[in-house]
Amino acid sequence: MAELHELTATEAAERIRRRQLSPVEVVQALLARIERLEPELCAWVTLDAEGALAAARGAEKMAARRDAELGPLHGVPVGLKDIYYTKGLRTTACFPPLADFVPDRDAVSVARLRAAGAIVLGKTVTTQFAYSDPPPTKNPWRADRTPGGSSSGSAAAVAARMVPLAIGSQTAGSILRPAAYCGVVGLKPTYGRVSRRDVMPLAWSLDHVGPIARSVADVALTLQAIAGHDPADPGSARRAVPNFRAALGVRARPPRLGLLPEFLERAQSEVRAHGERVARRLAEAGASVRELRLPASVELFLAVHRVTMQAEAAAVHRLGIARWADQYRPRIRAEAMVGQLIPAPAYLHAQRLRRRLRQAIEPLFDGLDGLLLPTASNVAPAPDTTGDPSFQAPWSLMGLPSISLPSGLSADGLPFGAQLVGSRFAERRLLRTAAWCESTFDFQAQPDL
Amino acid sequence: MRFDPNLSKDEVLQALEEDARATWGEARLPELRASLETTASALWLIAQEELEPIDLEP
Repeated sequence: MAELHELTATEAAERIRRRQLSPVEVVQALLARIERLEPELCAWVTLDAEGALAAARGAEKMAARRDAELGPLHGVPVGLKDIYYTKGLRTTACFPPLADFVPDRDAVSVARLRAAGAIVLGKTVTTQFAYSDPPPTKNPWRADRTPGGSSSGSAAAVAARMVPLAIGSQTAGSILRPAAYCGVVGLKPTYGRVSRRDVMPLAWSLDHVGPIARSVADVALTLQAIAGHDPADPGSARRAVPNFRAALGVRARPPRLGLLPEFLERAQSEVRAHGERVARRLAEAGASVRELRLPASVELFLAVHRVTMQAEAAAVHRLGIARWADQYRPRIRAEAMVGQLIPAPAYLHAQRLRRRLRQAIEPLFDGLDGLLLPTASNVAPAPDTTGDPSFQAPWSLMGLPSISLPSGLSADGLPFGAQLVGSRFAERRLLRTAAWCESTFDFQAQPDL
Repeated sequence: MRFDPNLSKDEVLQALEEDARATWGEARLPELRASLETTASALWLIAQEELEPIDLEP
């Protein structure tokens, strides 16, 4: 039988529901694991051992009642990126002036996780305000490599089996890239699918909430819990939430995928070679894989993304920069300062181009289950960077759902990620496709810790 | 700076640098350099994309 820290969220939830496993035992096992590994990995900002154990005891008591209706994440521990408001638990964004900030409420996504039965284990390391200044967190596969960012602690903690499930956020590539660098699964839902209320913003029109876990089933389970309209989030969509998990139960036909060679051409050689092998392997397993071209250059997508993110980040941090400029890390400070210089017509021009790109990209999905490309141009690089966001940012700009799956290891033993992109609000189809690819990859490796 | 498709990439960078000097002071310029260069390239690139006034709203 697997050790408790090895259980996926789905496995832990199932055993707890069958009264075969105590949430207290799970939390204790993970706390012991964290105690052993945290000094090296630095994945957590705040660990709420006491609160998690109290919640686990409550969950155990509830599970003891045979008539109790248990939520889909009942008793499952979760880590939260430290930009999510958590009632009574500090939320710092890794920014010194917020070191003692304790919110009086939960972010909507956190409240929904708790309502589904999840137990908050603590807050994971974010790069400061979810931008790109390198974090203290180490990559569990190799301590001399970045875990990626900005959801650095979330991805590292899941990969290190400190927690089965964590929540990240993505404005450029901050869920999928760390997931890929750490060899786990990351999902960025469609913009508007999950409430961003009481999540510290970086750029309002680009910020997405999403899960990081060790299986497609786990990210589907989590999305089910957190998705849904929130009238207090102006970006939230009035869309019915389909049954994501049921889609995984159906034996899927092999997917129809569109391979984007522009990204393979931009990738480092080992990523490119691996990406070509991935496409061949999926085709050999029965998928239809055909090459497609984007309706505009990758450079244009990235330029529109940059102007949008920088202008919005400058607006978000205008007062903070005026008051605490020297408390900011260098990259976000430069971003926020230069962003204030962007002329309003340039920002508006970028938004018009964004709309044009959205209209142009939609037909690409006709007759397809998803687009296929490497998650990142490289494997995890040195820790003076959080890596290259250029393969993830276009989909954040478009608001399209995307998912990263571990697809193999490099010669240096570092994980590769395969990225799938779906059409708007087609997460159900995307998850079904991802589950099919996951079973084809059958990635079983894990860091030696 | 003006958002003008007729400016070269170097002219966009120069205009941004002048704005940065005026807004944040000479001493900040070295730490802003990388961001200024990337932003200038992005602004120049999107300025090359024409949109008619009647065309898309933001």
